[in-house]
Amino acid sequence: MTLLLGDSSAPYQAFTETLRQRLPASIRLSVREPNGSVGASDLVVAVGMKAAESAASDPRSPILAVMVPKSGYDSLFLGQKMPQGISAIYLDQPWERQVDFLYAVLPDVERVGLLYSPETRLEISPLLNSVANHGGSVVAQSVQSAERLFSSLERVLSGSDVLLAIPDSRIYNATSIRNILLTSYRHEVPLIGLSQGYVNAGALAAIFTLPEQIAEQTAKQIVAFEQRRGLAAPSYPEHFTISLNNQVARSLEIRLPSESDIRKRMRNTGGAER
Amino acid sequence: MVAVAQLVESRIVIPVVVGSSPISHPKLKRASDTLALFSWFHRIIARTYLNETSGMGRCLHKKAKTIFGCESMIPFLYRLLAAIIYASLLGQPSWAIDASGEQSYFEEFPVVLSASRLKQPQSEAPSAMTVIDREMIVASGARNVVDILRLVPGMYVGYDSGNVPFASYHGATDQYARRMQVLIDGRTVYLPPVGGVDWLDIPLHIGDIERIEVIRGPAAASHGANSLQGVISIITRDAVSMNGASVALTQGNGGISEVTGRLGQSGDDLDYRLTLSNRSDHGYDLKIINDGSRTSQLNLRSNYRLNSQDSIDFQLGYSDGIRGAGNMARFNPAGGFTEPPREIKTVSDYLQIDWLHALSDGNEFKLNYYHISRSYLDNMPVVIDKQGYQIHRHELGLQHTLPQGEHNRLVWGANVRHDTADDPLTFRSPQALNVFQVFVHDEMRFSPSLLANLGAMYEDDGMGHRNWSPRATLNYHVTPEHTIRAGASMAYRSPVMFEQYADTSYLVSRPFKNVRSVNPEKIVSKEIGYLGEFKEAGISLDARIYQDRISDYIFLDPYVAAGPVLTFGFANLLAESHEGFESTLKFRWGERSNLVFNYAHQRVNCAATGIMTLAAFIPRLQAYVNQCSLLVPADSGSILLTQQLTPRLQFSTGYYHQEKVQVLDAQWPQNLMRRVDMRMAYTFGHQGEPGSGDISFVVQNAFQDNYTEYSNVPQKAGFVFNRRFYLNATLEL
Repeated sequence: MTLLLGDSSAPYQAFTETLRQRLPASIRLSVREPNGSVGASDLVVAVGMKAAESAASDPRSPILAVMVPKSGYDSLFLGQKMPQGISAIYLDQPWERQVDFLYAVLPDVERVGLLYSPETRLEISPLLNSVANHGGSVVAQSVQSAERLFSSLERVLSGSDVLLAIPDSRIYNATSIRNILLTSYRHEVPLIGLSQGYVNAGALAAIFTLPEQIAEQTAKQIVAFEQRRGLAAPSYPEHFTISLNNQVARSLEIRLPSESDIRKRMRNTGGAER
Repeated sequence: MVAVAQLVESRIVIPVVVGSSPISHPKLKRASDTLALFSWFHRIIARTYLNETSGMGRCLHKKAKTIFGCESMIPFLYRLLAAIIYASLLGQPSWAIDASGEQSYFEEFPVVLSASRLKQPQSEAPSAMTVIDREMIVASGARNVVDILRLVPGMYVGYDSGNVPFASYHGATDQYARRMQVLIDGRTVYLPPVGGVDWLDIPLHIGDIERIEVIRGPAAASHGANSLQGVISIITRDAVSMNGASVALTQGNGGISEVTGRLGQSGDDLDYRLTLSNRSDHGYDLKIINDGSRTSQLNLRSNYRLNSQDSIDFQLGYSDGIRGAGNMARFNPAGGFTEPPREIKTVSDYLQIDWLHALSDGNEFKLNYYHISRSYLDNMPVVIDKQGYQIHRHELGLQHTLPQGEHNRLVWGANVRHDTADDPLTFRSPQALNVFQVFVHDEMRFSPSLLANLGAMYEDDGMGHRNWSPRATLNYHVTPEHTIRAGASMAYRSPVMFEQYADTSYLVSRPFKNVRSVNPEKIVSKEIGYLGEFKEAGISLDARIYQDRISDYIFLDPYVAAGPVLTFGFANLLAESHEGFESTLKFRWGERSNLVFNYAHQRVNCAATGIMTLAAFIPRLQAYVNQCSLLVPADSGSILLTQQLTPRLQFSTGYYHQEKVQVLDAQWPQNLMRRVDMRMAYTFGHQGEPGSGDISFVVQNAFQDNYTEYSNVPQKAGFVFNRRFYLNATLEL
């Protein structure tokens, strides 16, 4: 079994550590950096996009790409023939779950604001449908360039009840987050983020899957693969983490439900963990 | 609400672009833009300060003797502007490179909305609070900051003359309203020698204000000494709030004229915004009093991020004013005017540095330093020397917010302040004061519905007084929508330098020289408030009843000095009791209509509690006590209605009502005021983008209710607030 790590930073380390703990001792892991040849193996577990790209260039083994965004995975492998088989555990949440979460946190939302750049590669029709199912609408605003972020923000915020972050680092990055959070706070529009980092910075709430949670799911798949010698279809993460910013909620006079209430509401609308 | 381009489509197919961003050489592009802007500002400055014939930047009253050239500010402005613009070329925004990877989920972000940036919700605040936001400021049509304060229940706003506005909560003041704390981004701006605030002169542009929070009631525990009756806290817009450039022009009757230029840029780790303005008007009535003014201002705010936890906010401002002075109504038959028409030159500036260290666990440290200075030169030729003063204030402060679990938050801090006043005609020698304060505030949540705020401040005022100012408040949410607040607090006002140290004994008439020791004024305040949200009806209500008892009220105490000359000192002579009811009702119906209604009913009683030096003056004190109830208007209020007529057209109107009131040092009471202001505004283009902007027309006192402002000018001379109108055009560049 080859474990191909995209990076040696904390999330990848956390993933590796949990995976080692969860795998039975009989399965031997050889950890590699994604440069040079991958070599033949029973299964290549590629962690992150960089590792997935590297694995794709040498398709002699079955590949399980994990901790990859669905859009990134699709752009690499969609329509590609992989003789030995390929699957994935995505890092991002399905839109339905994201939207169910949003409505569990903020049931009264009518207009969901969305910023995207012309380079954004996301299939968002499921998002529009999910929001419509909850009786809301999406106010989408494209951001033509970093210089235009400010006016796009003002425009989307003046017509939205909540701003939903999408994984687009052209819009949401360590530099721009300040402008986005300060402006949305001024408009009293909360931001739903993508990670704990967003919540620490000032987002109202976020739903995300931790590397440790992906690792658990990966371990299960590896064991299943060993038993059946086959890969399941690509899937979204089973488990997720909820993070809430009570200070921001209080300042915006939003009464946040407890985490367990949020999970309960999500189960009722069908977006909870399967 | 401005129309929003709602791109709600049934399916948005977002194009896939492989490769680099379409913008090539962004730095070069931005550099050329910035240089073009620089040359535009060059032209604006040249027009404003140099071109006499354009009429915008003329020195006031050219016939009067001018001791300062109007051009004195140019080199300073120019150097500063050049420095900022060239510095801005360094930190340009650019797209991040990778958009499809997993990095979006693992990126570390700085703590942006840290404790001090988050405002406390009104239902959990320890005091009654009025918040005036940008929308209200714009809708009011006000040109001056002080006029906005008419939207605070119980606030008195008056003009000693067209260029001496002042505001005082719960009346009972003179033009040096000194029983309120006034803060701009945490910087105190009341003036040490006399107390009060020179509203016209503060380097602050009305368009740079994000919101004004007015705490009604003493708040020494959280806002320092001198917040005896309340606190006006002005929060300006963040450095990041301006990206691009804009220009605005205002022209109206009575010499109303203003030109404003703005420039701002947000970058990777540096943001800044810059506002330059020049405004002038002729005041009330040049035939009676010479009270025109011209003020040129510069304000810069920038924010620099050192790393994800530390940021530095840097602000500076400069204001350069020429004021008309002199009273044509006070003609001295023996030889000209007793107060001849002349010009006063004022310069105010400040520099403020705030270092914020915010951790993701909620801990926050804030270290700040500021310096304010003001110089004032009255070219009145009658006394020994020119009248003038120079004031400096330096303050260093530290504040630490530490969350202790979900249910407790503690804030503590300390400040040291150094005030100096060099005013040879008022004080024999330059005065200096060192003030030290330490404060602690704890917010405890006993249950989701019960919250307590406890706080105290200890202050050494540098005059030999050391006082504790405690405050305790309970907020009980009967339901999440209905809150009852009950609180009690105690606070002090230290004597201002003038009350303690003034020495004008060289004057033949009405000299001041204090010989008694003056103690701080003390207030004990109690209140019960209610806050209600009726969401279905679109109504919110904020109401309170209060009782404030001020003791050791500082008052004039005449005595006979060697000479014998009747000299004025000060002593703690009075007690005042304020009682009243205040309410704010907000009503929003539909998306387009908004109404704010403020009402205050007040009552004041006074009693002589101290001993006057001269028994002969006791009847005067008693006369004051007897008239005391007139020191506040029994009923006052305001209504602000905003109506979005079409997506681009907005109408708003304000009504201001104030019953008869006697200002402490005015000769006559001010009669009933009923004033209606109106504003109509049209916006064009895409909001915030180049080529967009708005045109607005404002009428103040639209129905020409000839009410008089507080003034020492005899009202018989027909000194009234006339109808004013002005047209404003703003264009984003």
